[in-house]
Amino acid sequence: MRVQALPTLGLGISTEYGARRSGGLDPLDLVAHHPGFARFLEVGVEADRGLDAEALRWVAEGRATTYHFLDVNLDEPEDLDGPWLERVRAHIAVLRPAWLCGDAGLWHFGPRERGHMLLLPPILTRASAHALAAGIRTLSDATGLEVLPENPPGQVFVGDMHLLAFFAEVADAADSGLLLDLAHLAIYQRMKGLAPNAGLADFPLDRVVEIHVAGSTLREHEGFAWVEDAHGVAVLPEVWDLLETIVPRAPNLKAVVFECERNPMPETLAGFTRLAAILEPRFGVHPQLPGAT
Amino acid sequence: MSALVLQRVVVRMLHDPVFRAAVYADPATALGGLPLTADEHRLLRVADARAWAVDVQRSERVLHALIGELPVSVLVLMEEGLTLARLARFFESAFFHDTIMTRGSLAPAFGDYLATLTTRVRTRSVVALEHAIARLRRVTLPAQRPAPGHLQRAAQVRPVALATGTLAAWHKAKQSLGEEPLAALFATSRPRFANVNARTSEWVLLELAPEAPTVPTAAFIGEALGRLLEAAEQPVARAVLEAAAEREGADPVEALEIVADLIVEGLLVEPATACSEGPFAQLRKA
Repeated sequence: MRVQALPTLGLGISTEYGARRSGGLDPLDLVAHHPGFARFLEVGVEADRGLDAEALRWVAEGRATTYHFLDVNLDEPEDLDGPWLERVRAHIAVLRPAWLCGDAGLWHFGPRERGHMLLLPPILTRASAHALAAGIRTLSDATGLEVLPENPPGQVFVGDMHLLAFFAEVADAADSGLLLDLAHLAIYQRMKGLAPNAGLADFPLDRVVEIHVAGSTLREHEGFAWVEDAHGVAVLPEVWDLLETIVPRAPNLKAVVFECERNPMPETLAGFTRLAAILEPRFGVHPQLPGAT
Repeated sequence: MSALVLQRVVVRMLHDPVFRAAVYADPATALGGLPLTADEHRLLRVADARAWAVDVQRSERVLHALIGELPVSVLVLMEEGLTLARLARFFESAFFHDTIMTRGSLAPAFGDYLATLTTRVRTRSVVALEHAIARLRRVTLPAQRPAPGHLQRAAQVRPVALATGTLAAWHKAKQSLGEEPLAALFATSRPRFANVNARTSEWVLLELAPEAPTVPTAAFIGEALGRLLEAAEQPVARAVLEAAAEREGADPVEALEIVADLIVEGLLVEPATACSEGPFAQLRKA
């Protein structure tokens, strides 16, 4: 089985181009003080922008990475064009990631251009799932790496399938693993007025290779309550519950990311500590107390 | 197919509250002509209508990017009293909606929209210049291979007719707007656009070099050459171009030489190689 060839990365962190310059977490600073919290770096990449200094420094130290794409509509064949794939392969050659992953949604409308970028969830229908699956196979074939589709965030979900049923269909059709973002899932369940674990019983947890955890912000617009995927440190209670439920039931889980890249390190430590405690039985991660070196 | 159509309709609904309200009120009319079923119409209206508008800056971000690409056009339109609210009505326009449905680029569509906001020659001239630049930056391979014996203007060049003085005034205004044109446009004291001569015209040839695929050079050309290159935007029989050169004043022998020279200079090319697989094939990504 291909998934068994993937490395177990454990608990890791995420970064995007320029995150550190905006006052966010310094990955190497975190690993220096709390190595158990940052066993790998998930690098968010727009192929045209490339890799920033923090990502390159991390790689230069020979540390593990995953490649999180931020710019491809997997359900649009024309989006996987030759020049883009060439740039992706060039970044892969630098990062040497364990796999590719990223939100399987609409990253841009029209061609990739300034002003066109956004992130919307896919249309939740079977036809859309199969179009995404085709793109996953194309990208995997073109890069030689596993591609893990992630359930994206959103406030409007169009389609008659439950989000989890949709991604089960995607993974089955693509024969791929999955990246399950628990914060995005919690947002979806709230938007739909569903229980946090709705749809989980039929979800193929054996396909889950990676999990994301992130903080969210409760907001209101014209009396309408919604949850922003803020990548903060205030993790929703149901996200912790989902994590504790899923980790022991996901036999092929290899990695968990705490997405808090734009927060100063001291504010992230409580979340990392709790994550490490939950993951210790699985990955042998030993939680580090804040301030430990 | 309909998932892609639905996704594009979603993008339109997110950016245009008028369209969104129309879809909720009467989807059959608002979505008429699209290959969507009644059930798909229903799917678009399941969410609480307020959920579509939680990101209150969504359209503003797009608008700022578009203004950044046609900043001098916006400057001149603002001198005519154009407001930001009027600019934002781009999202209600057919230019926006058609572009989304055809997976096109918004910047040229925004240029088309700006051109409808004025009748003044001076303003239209500036919009024409920035619109031409926006289109040039997005050149693509020709869609079809025309018959042998035909010629086409090279994809990396574009002639544009302007009111006399526009190019110089545009350069000056662009420089004054600086690296942060948005801030300059909405500052208390913004740059002024110089006067141009609306009664006469100047022809400019915009050209992209492979080493600078997002910044075209601009050079003055004669009207005759401008019209000849304009006539070759689509594949055209060589004899037709030679006849056009004659209409511009060349004798038959000169017309043959002019067309041959333009091929040698790379301004006219055989259509099959009008845009090679080299750097220009990637310009739209830049």
